[in-house]
Amino acid sequence: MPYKIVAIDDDADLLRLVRIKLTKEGFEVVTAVDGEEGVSTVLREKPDIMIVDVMMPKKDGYQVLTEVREKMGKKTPVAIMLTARAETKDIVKGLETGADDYITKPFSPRELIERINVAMLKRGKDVISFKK
Amino acid sequence: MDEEPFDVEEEVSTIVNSPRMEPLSALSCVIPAAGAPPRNYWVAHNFASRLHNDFIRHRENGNQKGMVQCFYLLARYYGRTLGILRDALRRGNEELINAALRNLVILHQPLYFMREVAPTTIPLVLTLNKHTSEHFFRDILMEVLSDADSPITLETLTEHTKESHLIHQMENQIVVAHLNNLISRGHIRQIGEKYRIENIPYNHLNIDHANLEAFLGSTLYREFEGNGFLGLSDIVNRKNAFKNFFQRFSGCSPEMAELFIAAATEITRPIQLGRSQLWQHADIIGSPYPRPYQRDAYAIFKGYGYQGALIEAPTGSGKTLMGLMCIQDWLRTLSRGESVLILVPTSNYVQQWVAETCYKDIGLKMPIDEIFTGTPGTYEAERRRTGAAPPILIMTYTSLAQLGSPTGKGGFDKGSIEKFLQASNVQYVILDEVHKVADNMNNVSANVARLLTEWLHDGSLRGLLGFSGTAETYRDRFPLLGLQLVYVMPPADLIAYGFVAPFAELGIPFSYSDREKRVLELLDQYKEQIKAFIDLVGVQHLVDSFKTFPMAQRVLLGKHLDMYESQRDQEGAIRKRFSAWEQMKEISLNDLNMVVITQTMKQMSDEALVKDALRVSETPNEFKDIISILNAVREELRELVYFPDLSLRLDSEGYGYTFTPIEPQQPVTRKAKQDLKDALASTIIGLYNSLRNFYFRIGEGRLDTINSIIEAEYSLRPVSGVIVFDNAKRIKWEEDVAAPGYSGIAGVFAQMLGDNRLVPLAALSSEVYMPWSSENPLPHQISRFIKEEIMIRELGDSFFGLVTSRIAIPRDRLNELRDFFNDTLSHYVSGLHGVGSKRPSELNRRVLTKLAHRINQLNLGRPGQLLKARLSLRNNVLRRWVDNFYDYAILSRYFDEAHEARLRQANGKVQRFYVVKMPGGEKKLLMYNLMSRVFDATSLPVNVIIVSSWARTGWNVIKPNVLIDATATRDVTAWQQLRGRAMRARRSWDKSAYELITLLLGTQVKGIRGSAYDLPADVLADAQSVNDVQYVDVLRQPERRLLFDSYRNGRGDESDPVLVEKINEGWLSGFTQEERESLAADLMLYKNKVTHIFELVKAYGTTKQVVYNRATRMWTRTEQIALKHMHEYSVNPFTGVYSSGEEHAPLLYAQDPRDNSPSSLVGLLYERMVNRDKVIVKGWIRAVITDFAEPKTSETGGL
Repeated sequence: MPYKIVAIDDDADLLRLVRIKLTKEGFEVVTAVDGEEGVSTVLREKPDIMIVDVMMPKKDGYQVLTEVREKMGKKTPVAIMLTARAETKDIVKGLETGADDYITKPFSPRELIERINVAMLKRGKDVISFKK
Repeated sequence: MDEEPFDVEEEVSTIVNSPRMEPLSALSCVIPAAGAPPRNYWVAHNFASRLHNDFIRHRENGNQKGMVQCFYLLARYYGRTLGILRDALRRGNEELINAALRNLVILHQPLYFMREVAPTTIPLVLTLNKHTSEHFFRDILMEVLSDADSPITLETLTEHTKESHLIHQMENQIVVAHLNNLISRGHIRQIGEKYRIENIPYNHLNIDHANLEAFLGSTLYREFEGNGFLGLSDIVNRKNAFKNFFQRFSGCSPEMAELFIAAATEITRPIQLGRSQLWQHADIIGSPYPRPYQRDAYAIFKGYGYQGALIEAPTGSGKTLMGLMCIQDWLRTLSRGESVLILVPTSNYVQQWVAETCYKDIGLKMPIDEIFTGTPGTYEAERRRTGAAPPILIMTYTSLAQLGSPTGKGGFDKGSIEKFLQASNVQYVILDEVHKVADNMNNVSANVARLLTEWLHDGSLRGLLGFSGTAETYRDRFPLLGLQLVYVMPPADLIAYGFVAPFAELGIPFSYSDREKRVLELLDQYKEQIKAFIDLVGVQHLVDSFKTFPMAQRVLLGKHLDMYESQRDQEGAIRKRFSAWEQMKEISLNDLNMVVITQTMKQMSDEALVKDALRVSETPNEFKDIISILNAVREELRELVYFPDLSLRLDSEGYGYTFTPIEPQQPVTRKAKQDLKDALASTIIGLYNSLRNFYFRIGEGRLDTINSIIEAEYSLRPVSGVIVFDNAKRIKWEEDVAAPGYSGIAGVFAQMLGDNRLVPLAALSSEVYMPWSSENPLPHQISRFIKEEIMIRELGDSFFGLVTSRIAIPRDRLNELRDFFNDTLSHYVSGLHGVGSKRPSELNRRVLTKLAHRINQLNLGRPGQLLKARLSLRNNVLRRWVDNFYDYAILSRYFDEAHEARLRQANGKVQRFYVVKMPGGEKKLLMYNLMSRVFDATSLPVNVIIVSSWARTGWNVIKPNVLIDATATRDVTAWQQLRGRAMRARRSWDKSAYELITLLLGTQVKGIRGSAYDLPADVLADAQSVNDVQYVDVLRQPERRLLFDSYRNGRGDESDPVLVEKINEGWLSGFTQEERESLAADLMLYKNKVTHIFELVKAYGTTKQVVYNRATRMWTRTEQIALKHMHEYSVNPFTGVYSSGEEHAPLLYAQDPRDNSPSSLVGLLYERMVNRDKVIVKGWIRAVITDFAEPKTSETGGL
């Protein structure tokens, strides 16, 4: 079984790119186009990893993460935040909210995969083939 | 409309068996690919193009009837072709399907264009049948009613319907009929005299399904429908399933299915129902400008779904326009924020793409703000600054590759490139000049290409396509870049129709010059006397004398004589040789230093040596005879040998009878060696040691051969320019008087100086040489040319075009502004001197601010404000323009500051010349480009350009019609690339010339009869009321004029009155096949050029490239050289036969190529090459028109 990822972003092109590149790496990717849909998708799909854009309509990325943590507790997936800002306070806020890592836009899919890799390692999960 | 019966056999013969319908020439190097196009459809193109032009003319004259006539003529022909397609599909006639599909696309485009530009005059072009078109009209009525807030009257409804410009001449009664239909089905209610919409679900017509049904006709459509292909979208989305079905159904190849999809998509493209276009641009696809083969390329790319297809096309075939057609197609579905990335090798290509994308007359004409040129780094900065995301990004491979590299150069960082691709949201990519990328598969450009195709193949990009120049060598490498070469444009076709200039190639063996031959004969005589002299002295005496001197002294002399100078252990090698000499019984030419050393040690003249050996006191007569013969040889050599050092030694006094005492010096300096040689010049062998250097200085024959070719060409025909390609060798001009000798570019340039007919310009990658003149020096002329022609005229025009594109300013105001800008810029540029770097603020102050002021004065309103906003040099394209502008200013300074230098020609004459150093980096590429501009400029006198390997690619010249490859290496890649430099069609080969040759070589398309198929009811109704325009096969007045002029140009006073009469009448069917072919050739010679390419073939020495074939009694190239011609094709200039192998480039020699003396070559070339150009052109024509049949006529006449 491949690891499952839920990617939440309101930019359809970016979601498409993330889906293609991560699927190619062996992940199973489910996407959601706003924060609200994101929360329900994560709760439904119970992924291993969630990639969440910070700036989104309806609910921002911090809210999504907070809500997921409240509901899933220790089973909260590995969370990687996507942010257009690279300011320290945003990064700190993301990490305080419980994000495992963050990545600033634009990013290379390769870099995203590396970040996922590192975050999974931190959680003590196998990353060699991205497969369970 | 129901399908009308028609005479299929007759129709088929019209299309297939017409003279232009021959199968693709087997000679064309076509790679099997999707729908290799039969050229016949060019005829449809020509027909469509003529009607298109007529339409534009009528529109300009306000002649609505003429416009409508043009439309219906096209529409009817279109309908007939559709019928033919359907029949061909039923019969599975692949060739006919191919032809009909292409014709349909060609015919559809002008129909579409006519409707777009004149919606109130020209009916809607809908490929709908009667049933679906009625449904469509009802859809429009429903839309109008649903848009209305309250019930509306019939008049208002009709009015609004007409406003949509969708339906032509919608009469009240037709509207009423449709309304009644809708009322009866409960969708509309009539309240008094008004109508309103009811809340009952109404199903709109599915245009996708309807289009396909109309395209196929009801019978075929049922077949498609039954297999799940209800609309074109089903076909496109399930391509593989469709291909299988199509193959089963029609029996045609999968490639034909691809073509079917491409053509059907084009023809049934959805009508823009009032939706304004997201991107502003001109319509190239629907315009008459693309040439037939450019449409091919577009259709093929599209047919392959833009999935990594690569097309190979020769230089000058207009690849940018093909790319722009694809971009136009992509723009239909490209959203804001998404982009198209165009990668090119150098900044010159960036400029070319910008020009054609933004402001060239034939181009996309997109606003400057929609284009980004620069590097990925500046893209990010620009985006942050402006917040805009231009849809078109044009950059070089290296600028992308160097992104994120820690060294800034040469690195490759995938991550950074991917980051950029994501940031700019690239959806489509064009890889230009891929052969340059494939040149080195390990470089960063290749890595970039591989990364992009990787993105394409995993679906991260929607489309990618590539262009390559003609480079057979690299074909194996394209798949390694992730690209599929799908089509090679047949050069023969492009040449036969003049898009690429016709050419022929000749192999010219070269040997020695006449002078060199005589010198070599004299040296042979000299050698004979040496033998006599040695025999007289006796070998044993020489060996015995040699042995008596201490080895160390002998070795020192050996060093002075340059023995084994290149060996690491020179002394050891000399000692070994001397020991061998001590045992010697016979002396060969290589052992003569033993004699020289002995004489030097003994300080003996030749006479003294003879007397000593023979032990006599009187001078023997044999010796006197030898000296007497050698004196005669010396005498003649003095006249023939130009090298100053040799001439001095030949003059030495007391030859044979005296010896100038000399002590060998320690250390062995260059001067000491020269002094020894000077001293020994009075001895037989000492002088020979100097004379034998002549063997290493041979090369005059090669240069004389080049000059002979040029001389013969000048006497044969008007020479518009000569390119000589040679090895890079610079002139050491820093010396007081340089002596470049014969080799390489330096030798060729030096030998041409002083010939008043020639103005040579030699360009290496390090410097440029030009002849000196006291009046109007060439460097100053070039500097002026840069300023006036490039900076003011060309760059000025491009600036003005860039800032005004797509801004609605009245024409007179625009012209006024243009004049003002030109004057201001011209004033500024003429005062520019000594520019060392760019000066944007000066440009702003001196030119742009004044222009802005002028815009204010003209009170242009909103367009004026837009224009002023565009003048900001912060715009990325304008910033690049400024860089370019000042780069040229710097280049002009280089020419202003040219060095003056001197060289000594091989004949001893001293000539002055100019040197301009080549700049480095990007400016070097600009300088290369400048070389072609200088050469092509009619205002500059340069008529010969001597170039090295830098000029193989990326350097496009139009003018030259002679190319000489002087390297005598037959490097196939170099030759192919270089050939591209000499075969650009002249600008005078314009649309009218191309159309005329198509008419001459093309078919007589039968007149249009019968009714059109599946055209809307209103179209058909109108069509009945319009009289047929008699598009018979008669040429129009301007075409007759052009034909007559070209005929007279070819025949002079020897015109055939009967043929002249035929031309005046202009009936195409009146010409015989032979006459048409001949007239086509005359036209080509009149408006285009024929290039003669000369390959120098070495015919002397151990590395000679010719060999005698005893069986044929002919000289041919050696196997190694001949092999390199195996896959080359061209027309043999003597036989006119299109052929490959050695045959295509015959060797030209009189008796024996080894005796191909340059002086006799002029006469030989003249005799053999006179009036060959017509034969060459006819050869190219015949190469593609293989079954030239008699023209057909019909009762209504043909076209």
